Amino acid sequence: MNLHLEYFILITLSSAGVIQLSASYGSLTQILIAKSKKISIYIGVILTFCPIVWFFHQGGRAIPDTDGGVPGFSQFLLFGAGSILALILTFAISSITNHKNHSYILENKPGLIGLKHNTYLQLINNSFGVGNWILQALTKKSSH
Amino acid sequence: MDITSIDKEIFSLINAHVGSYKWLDTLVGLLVSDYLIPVSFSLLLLSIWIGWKDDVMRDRNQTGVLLSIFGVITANAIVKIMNLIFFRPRPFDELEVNLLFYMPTDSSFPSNPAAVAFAIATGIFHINKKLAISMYLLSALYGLSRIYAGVCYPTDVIAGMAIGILSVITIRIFFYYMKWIPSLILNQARNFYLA
Repeated sequence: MNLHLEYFILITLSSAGVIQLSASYGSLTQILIAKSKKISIYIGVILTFCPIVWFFHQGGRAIPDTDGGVPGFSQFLLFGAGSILALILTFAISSITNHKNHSYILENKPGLIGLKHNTYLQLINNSFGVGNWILQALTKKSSH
Repeated sequence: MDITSIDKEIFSLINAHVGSYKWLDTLVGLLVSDYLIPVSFSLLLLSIWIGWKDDVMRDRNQTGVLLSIFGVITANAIVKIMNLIFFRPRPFDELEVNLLFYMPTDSSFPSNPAAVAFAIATGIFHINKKLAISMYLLSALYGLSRIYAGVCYPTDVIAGMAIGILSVITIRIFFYYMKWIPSLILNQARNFYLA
């Protein structure tokens, strides 16, 4: 596996872990993958630190840019891409796992704060009318 | 004795210890990495962006993260411009060095990794002073490890530190007079439930 891909995997998984830990701290319960806050914290710790141990277990990865190392600008781009992918995965998974838990309390304020009571899919659906068919499919599935 | 000689003297004093303690070399090998400190600091920024308890904390945290990001971009731009103007050879090009890292080909002065680390720490200073002090200490260790590893002179790290800190201060002043810029970014992100 080349270092760029390894770096991207590290960022995606660790970002997903950090999102779980931060969401637990801020009580953004609808982006927690597990129903229990405690389990979400455990998942967050594992997702954050295991990839770091895996990436650095051989040392500092001192590889020059000319020999397969990741240059600074590429690190910046890959970090952005990896953390966005982690957010997308978190929003997608938590929108499915928390679909039944919703209380549909719509906050007057926009932003992440809405994720205290509604899943990302519900918020996006409410604001932009996006993903209606997914919500309907999920509702159908949970009512059976 | 001029500054360059003192610089080389201090460098040699620090770098001479390579090989004396295996545990220290291993630790520095990890610290000096292009990835460990930048990834840790970036993940910390992500956690600060999402982790808050109330609206006041949210605004403060997210403004601090924006300060760090814009500070890093500015510091990088300044370092690149300085590199175009003049080139300082690396210590291993000029002196007998115990090398613990690969041989970078770009200019030694100023240290880009130090600029980035100190820029992020200074952005966090706006949010949480205790956390920022720990980050300053880590950034200083990061800079010191680059000297120990044989890839930077002390003045390179000091210049990188100054560029990182001043970049964030400049961005903070800029945000003070152009408040609409951070507000626009945050409001747009909030419309998509991302901030």
